[in-house]
Amino acid sequence: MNKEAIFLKLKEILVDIKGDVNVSYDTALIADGILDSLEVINYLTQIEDTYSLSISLDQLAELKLGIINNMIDYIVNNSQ
Amino acid sequence: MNYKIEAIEYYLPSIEIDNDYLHECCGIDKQFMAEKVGILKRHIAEPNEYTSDLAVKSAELLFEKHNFDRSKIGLILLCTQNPDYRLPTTACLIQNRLGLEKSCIAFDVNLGCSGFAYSLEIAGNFIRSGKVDYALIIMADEYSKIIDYNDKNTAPIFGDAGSSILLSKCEDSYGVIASNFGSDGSGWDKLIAYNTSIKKDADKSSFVFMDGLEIFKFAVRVIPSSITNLLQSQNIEISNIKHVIFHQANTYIIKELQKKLKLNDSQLIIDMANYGNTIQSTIPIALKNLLNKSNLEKGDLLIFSGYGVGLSWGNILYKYI
Repeated sequence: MNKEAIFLKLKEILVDIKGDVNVSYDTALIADGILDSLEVINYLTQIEDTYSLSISLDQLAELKLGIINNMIDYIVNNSQ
Repeated sequence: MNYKIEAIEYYLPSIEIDNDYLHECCGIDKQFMAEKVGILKRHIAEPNEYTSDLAVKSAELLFEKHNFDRSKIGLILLCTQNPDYRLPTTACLIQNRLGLEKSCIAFDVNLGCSGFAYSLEIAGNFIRSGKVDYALIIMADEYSKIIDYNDKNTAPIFGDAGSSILLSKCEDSYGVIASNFGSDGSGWDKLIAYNTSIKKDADKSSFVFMDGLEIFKFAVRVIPSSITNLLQSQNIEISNIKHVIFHQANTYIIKELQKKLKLNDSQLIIDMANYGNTIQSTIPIALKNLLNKSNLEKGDLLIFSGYGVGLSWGNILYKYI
C-alpha cells in the first residue's frame, strides 16, 4: 500500500471532519488539539470503514495512532 | 384503519444539573459539552421519585391539558429500562394510579433509545386491528439512579423524563404509514448496566457503562441506510421529508447523520440542550416542542429515528394529520 495515498486519504477524512486542515506526517492530531474526543471517534470510524480494519481506543493510545505517520503504518500492516 | 398521535405531554423532574455542577464533580469541559455535545442542563428525579411517578405525572398532564376522558384508554404501554420493581410490571401500577378501566391492556416494554419507535408500532397495531380505540404509550426512565456522577462519559449525557403519547384511529393514508426496525445483539455490552438484575458479574460496576466509540460507529453505519431503505420502500425522496427527529443522543452524532442523509438544516430537529439524552423520551419531547411552535400542515412527512442500547433501532415514517 502506498503511504502517500494513505496520507492523502487521511487528509481527506480530516477535511470532512474539520474543514480545511494543515497536517503533515508528523502531526499529532490529539496531542496538538486538532481533534476533540468526538472528532477522534469519527476519524477512527472513517478509517475503519475505508480500510476494513478495527481500531480500539486502547490501541489509539498505546500505539500513538494520533500521530499521522503511526496511523499510516498501522493501516499498512493491518488493512485487508 | 391506521393510527396517529393524538396528543403528547411530558414531565421533567425539578432537580436540574447544569454544566457548572458537572465541571466541579467530574471535570467535564463546559464549552465542549455545550457546543459539541449540545447539552446545557439535565433534569434529575428526586431520590424518592420513581419511573411510575414520571409516567403518571406526564399522563395526568396529558389528560388535564387535552380534557381527555381516561376511561377511553384501552391500552397502556410503558417503555422503560428502570421499572419500579422487577415485578409486577410497572404498567399495572400506572393503570391503578391513573384509575384506568380494568379492561385496559397494560404491559411494559424494556427498550431504551429505540423505544419510542417500537412502542408506537406495538401499541398502534392494537388500534389497527380494532382491538382498542385509544392507546397511551408512556416513555419514562431514570438513568440518574444508575449513573456514576464521577463518570464523565455518562454523567453529563443522560437526563430523566416522562412523556405520554396518546394514540388514536385515523384514515389509512395518514399517521404511521411505514416503519422498519432492527437489532444487533453483538453490541449488547456497548451500553449496559451490569448487576442491576438477576445476572451478577462480580468484576463489573453496577453503574451504566457506555462505549461511546462503538455507539457512534453503530449509529453512523446503520441509521442512514435504514432510513434510506424505509423511504425507498415507499418511493419517497429524502427531500420530501419535512422534518427528521433523530433520537437526541448528542448533537455531533445527529449532525453526522444529517451529513450522511444530506438533510438540510430546516429538516433537522435538534432539541436536547435543556434535557440531555432522556432515552425513550427524546423524540416525543422534541416532537411536542415542534408541534407547539411549528405550523405543520396536513400531509407533512416526518421521520422519527430511534437507535441505541441493545443494540436496537427503529424508524417511523409519519404523515401528519
